[in-house]
Amino acid sequence: MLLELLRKKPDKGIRAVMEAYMGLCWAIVRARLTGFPQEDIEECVSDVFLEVYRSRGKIELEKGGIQAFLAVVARRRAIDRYHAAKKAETFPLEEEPAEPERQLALEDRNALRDALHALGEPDGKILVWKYYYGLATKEIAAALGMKENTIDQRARRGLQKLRAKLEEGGFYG
Amino acid sequence: MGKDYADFLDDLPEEELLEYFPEKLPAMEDRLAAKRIEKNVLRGVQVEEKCRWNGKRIAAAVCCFLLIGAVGHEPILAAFQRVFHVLPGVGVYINDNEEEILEVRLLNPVQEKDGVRAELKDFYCKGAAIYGLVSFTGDGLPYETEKGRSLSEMMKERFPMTWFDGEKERSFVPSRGGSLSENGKTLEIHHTILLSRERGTDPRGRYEFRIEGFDEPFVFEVVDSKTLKNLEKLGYSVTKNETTVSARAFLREEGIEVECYVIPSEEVRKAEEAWRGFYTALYPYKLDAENYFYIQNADGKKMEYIDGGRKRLLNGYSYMVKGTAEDFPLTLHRSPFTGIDSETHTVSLPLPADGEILTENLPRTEFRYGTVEFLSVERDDVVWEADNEYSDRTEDAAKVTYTYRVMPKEGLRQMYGVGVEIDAETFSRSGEGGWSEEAGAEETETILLKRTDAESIQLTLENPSYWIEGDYDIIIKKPGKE
Repeated sequence: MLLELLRKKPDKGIRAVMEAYMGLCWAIVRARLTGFPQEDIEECVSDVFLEVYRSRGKIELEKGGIQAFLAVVARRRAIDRYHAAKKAETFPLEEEPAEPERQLALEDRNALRDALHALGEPDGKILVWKYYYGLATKEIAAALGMKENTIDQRARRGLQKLRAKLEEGGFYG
Repeated sequence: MGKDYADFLDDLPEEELLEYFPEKLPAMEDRLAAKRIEKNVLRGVQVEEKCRWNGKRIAAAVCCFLLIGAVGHEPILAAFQRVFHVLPGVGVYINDNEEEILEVRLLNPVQEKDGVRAELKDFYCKGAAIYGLVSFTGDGLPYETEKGRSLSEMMKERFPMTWFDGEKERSFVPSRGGSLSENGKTLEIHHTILLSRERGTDPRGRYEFRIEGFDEPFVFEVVDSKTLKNLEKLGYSVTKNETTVSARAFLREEGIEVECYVIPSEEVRKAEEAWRGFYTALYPYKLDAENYFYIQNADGKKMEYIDGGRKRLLNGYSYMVKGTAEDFPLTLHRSPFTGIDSETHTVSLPLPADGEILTENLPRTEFRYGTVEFLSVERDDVVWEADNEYSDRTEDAAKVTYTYRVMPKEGLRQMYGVGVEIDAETFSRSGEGGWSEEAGAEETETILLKRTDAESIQLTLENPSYWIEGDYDIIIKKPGKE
């Protein structure tokens, strides 16, 4: 088991984790950093694996183990980098109010989960695969046995539905 | 549309992610990128482990060394590439095989129009990208923002930038941010730019960079480097053991700026590669981080850095120190560089019984440039408690602590460190080390082994690191008087 290996033999473990999840991590980061230079994406992916390495003693199996942990970290590090770049594009002499960091309350997480479930299958899956995991339309279409344009249509509609549901609940916007 | 709408997915918790985990994971198609990432990560792991294992003293030394060596805010790797591939005033291109060095030559870097001076500075290549700095100065710049508009927006509107790569016009892509600073009475705006091309594209060629409002395009070329051969002409140089350290100085309003470049020998370059490739850490000579690098004035007094004093150059590094013309000649001191050998030995380390210490008949291994001696091995068996760090562990463990020292041999190359790989199942490793001038480097490591009845464990001693004796003291005369 990867987590076991990572804890027992961290150097070998992290190699194995990279071997197994490099593509996934890359896809997640790239999806969030569209338009960024490749060097930035590579640095971000490196940061993610280093964080996995550092956190090997804290990764919780019941929360999904390495897979889920890595997915969350990849997305968060990409978001951090995205915001850092946006912030850096402004000039420091300009006073800008800092955007308060949003802490997602438990009820909001539940609302998000419920809204996703309400989309039904395979729309929820398509949405997360495409916009979180960064899977290409082609890959999703092949996995689900559907046409590519169908995937794109469902993804767009799914997003609209999801947003509507979340806005109803005061979560988004 | 999708991107904005999809931002809320940022908040998906782990449990939900697992529920929607892809059945087939995406493949990493860019193998070169994957290799670079792997190298980066393993290097980071190596540095962290070294710092963790070797205790506070060495950790502090390494961190100081890295800061001094890397000199900057950029990732250490990038900084080291520049330190070790030196081309002043031009730039460095390191392709995926890190075999080629190209220069960016700015043909007309300065233009002025309506009270605004625009200057391209410090352009260089890395991968398929060209980085550079655009500096705006002058009274014609907007000093105050208009209502509802940021200075950033005003500048972007007034000075839109485009570039032409010989085939087509492309939009200017700002990257790495910008900064705005008051420099006396002049407003100076620097903007770091990134001109991206597709990876794999040969960056050689002629480029035009246009800033709206200026009459002519700024032109630059990316060409094969010729400057490398003439590096010694940069300034004052000292070459020892085929590694050259070169330096020069400039008198500035605020003090003296000293630039320093290193042209490594193949031996030193390999050590730096090993460091980047995670095999080893490079330590300052005798672990003396205080004296590993300094600049002193004509009276032999170490010069004080201004505002932190160190900044990266695109292809070397510079130090701003307090001083005047009276301080010359300066001496830039750099202590010996490290080399890494490929010599490897396997040793059998005997394990004592629980609660006992062995101090005799322990392995002693001769390396080309030094000797590794094991001094003691101690063992205490451990029964895991329920709330141990690895809560899923149930097997009992054996805590084994061993001490060894690295004794340098006489000669030009003096071994100071060695990598130790343990051929046994371990739960953790930690340790501390120190340096004794008369005895060499002594290290103590504690490992938690899966409980075993074996009488010994196999250790592989590898990647011995050594200093290549010889200080570099570069005498820098007063500028303009050499």
